[in-house]
Amino acid sequence: MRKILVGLSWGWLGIFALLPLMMLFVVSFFHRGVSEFFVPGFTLENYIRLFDPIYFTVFFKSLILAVVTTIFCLLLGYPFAYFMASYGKAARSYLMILVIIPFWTSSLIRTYATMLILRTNGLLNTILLKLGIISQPMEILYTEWAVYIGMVYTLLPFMILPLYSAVEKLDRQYLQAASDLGASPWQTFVKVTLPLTLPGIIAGSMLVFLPAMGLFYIPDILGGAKSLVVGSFIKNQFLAARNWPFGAAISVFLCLLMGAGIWLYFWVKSRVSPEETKA
Amino acid sequence: MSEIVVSLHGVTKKYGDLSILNGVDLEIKKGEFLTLLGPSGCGKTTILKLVAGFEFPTSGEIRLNGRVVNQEPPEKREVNTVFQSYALFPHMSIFDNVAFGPRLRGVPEDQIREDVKKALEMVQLIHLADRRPNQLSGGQQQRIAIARAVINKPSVLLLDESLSALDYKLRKQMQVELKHLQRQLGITFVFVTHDQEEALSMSDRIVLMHKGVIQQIGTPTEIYENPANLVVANFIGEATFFDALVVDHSEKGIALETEGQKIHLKDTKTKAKPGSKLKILVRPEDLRVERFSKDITEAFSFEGLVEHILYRGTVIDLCIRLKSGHVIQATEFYNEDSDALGYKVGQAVFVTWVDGWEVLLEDA
Repeated sequence: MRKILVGLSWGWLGIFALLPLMMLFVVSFFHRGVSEFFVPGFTLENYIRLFDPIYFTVFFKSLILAVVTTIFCLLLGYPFAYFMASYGKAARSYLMILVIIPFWTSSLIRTYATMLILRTNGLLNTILLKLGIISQPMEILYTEWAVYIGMVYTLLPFMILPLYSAVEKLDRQYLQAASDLGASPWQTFVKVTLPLTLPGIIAGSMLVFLPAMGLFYIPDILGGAKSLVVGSFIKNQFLAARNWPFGAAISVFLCLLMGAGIWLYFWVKSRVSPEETKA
Repeated sequence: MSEIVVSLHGVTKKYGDLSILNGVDLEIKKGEFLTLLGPSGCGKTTILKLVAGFEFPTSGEIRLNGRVVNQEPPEKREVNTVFQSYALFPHMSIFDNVAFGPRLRGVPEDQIREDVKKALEMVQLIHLADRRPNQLSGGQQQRIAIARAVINKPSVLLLDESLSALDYKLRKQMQVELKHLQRQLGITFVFVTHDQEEALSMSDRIVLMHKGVIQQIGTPTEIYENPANLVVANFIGEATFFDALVVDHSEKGIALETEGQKIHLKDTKTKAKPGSKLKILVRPEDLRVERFSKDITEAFSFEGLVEHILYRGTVIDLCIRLKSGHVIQATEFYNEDSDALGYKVGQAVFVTWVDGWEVLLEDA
C-alpha cells in the first residue's frame, strides 16, 4: 500500500512537473517558428540572447524586487512569528488561522481586491481622508509602492510559517542560559536566537524569494505593467511574442538560478546544524 | 561567623492563585555546598530560579552579596546556573560555549583562550574544545556546562537537578567530582535534587522542602538522625514508625504505651502531654532482631513473625509482623561469624532497639 502511494506521487510529479520541465528544456534549444510555436533543431541562440544587456536589466529589476520583498517579509514576519510563538495556545491557533485565511481565496482575486483598496478613490484613501491624516488622496496604485505592498501581502505567510516553526522549536533554556552568562536581551537575540532560528529564516526567505522572482500578475496588475519583470517577460514570450524557444530558455535559466539558491540553502543549513543533515 | 552570600527573607512566589513558595527564609553561607531537597513540586527549583533571576518573587526580599536583587535580571547577577538539560549552545563549539561569558564581559581574547583552556583542563575535556555539544556524551556535556558556568567565577553556582539525566554509575562518579570541584574552587554551590542519597553524600547542609515550605535545615547527619518532623522523617531514608501514647514523663525519661506494652525511654526532649499521641521513629538498620528473648539486652522487645526476607547484597531486609498486626521493616547486616543468615519466613523473632537511638515525633 505504502509502495503504491509513493509510486503514485512519483508518477504524479513525473507527469505534471518533470515532464513539462523536460519539454521546456528541449524546446529551449529549438528555433523560433513563424507559423508554428517552434521549429525543432538545435541552437544555443536563445541562451546567447539572454546575455543581452536589455534582458540583464529585466533580471536585475526582478532580483531587486524579489530581494526587497524578501527583506520586508522577514522584517515583518520575524517579530510576528516570535510573538506568536510566545503566546498561549489559544492565541496561537487564532493567529495561525489569521495567517492561513488568505489561502482560502485565489491570489489573483486578492490582488484585484488590493487594487480596489489602493485606488485613488479606494478604501485606503477614503479612510485616511475621513480621518484627516492626509488632505489629498495618495497615488499608490500603479507605482512601485503598490507592487511591493501586493508582493509582501501575498508572500508574507510563506515567511511566517517556517519562521514560526523555527522559533517555536527554540528551547527557552538556551535564552535563559545566555542571560545567565551575562547577555543582555539584545545580545541574547543576536548571539543565540538569531543563529538558532537561521534555518527558519533561510527557509522562509527561499519560500518568498523564489516565487517573488517568478510572480508576474502582481507587478502587472498593481504596477500597471510599467516595469518588466522576469515573470511577465516569460509570459509575454509565450503568449504575446509567440517565441516559445526563447521563453523556454529564460525559464530554464530562472530554474537554474533558483536551483543554485536551494543548493546554497542546504549548504548553509548543513553548516549551521550538522546533526540534522547527518541523520 | 561565615559570610552570607545569598539570603531570602519571607520570600513567596505565586502563579495566580497557585502558591509555590510560602514565606521562605534561608541564608546561604560563602563556600558551602547547600542542597535543596524535596519531592517534585516542593518549590526547590523555584528558589533556584529566584536566585538566578529567571523568576521574580511575589513578595519578600532576596539579597545577593548584601544587595537586594528582587527584580534584577539574570545578566546583572554574579550567579551562574548549570541547567538540568545543560543548555549548551548547539551552534557553537565547546570552546565558544565556555568562552561565551568572558566574551560578553569584554575579556581580551588572549586571556579568554587561557581561561577556557584552564576551565576545560579542570573538567578534563581539553581535547574536545573544537567539537559541537551534540558530539559529546551526557556526562561530557554536564562537565562542559559546569566549566561554562565556573569560568565566570560566580559568587554562587546553581545546579538544577544536574545529575538526574546521567546513569547510575556516572552519577556516582560526578557526585565525587562535583564535591571535589567545589572544594577546589571554593565557590558556593546550591544544588537542587530530589535524590536523598545524593543530598546526603554531597552536602554541607541540606534544606528539606515540602509544599513550598522549608521543613528543616541542617547537616546531613542532623537531617538523618534528628528529623524535625514526620515529613522529613518520611522523605529521608527508610523509617519504621511505632504509634505510641504518652503515659508520663519526667527528668528521667518518658513512659509510653506502644505495641500493647508499656516501655520507658530515656528521652527528655519531648514535652508531649500525657495522653497525647506520638510516633516513635527508628531507622530499620537500628532495629535489633533476635531469635531468642534471652539475647535481648534492652528492657523492652516486641515479638513478631518474619513475613518476607529481601536480599539486598550487603544487607537483608526483614519484614516482620508484630503481634499487634503492625508490619515493620528491619535491616540486618551480615555478620560472617554468626548464623544471622538463618532467618526463615514464618520464624518467631524479637525486635528491639538501643534506648536513645529512636526519634520521638509529634503525630500530625
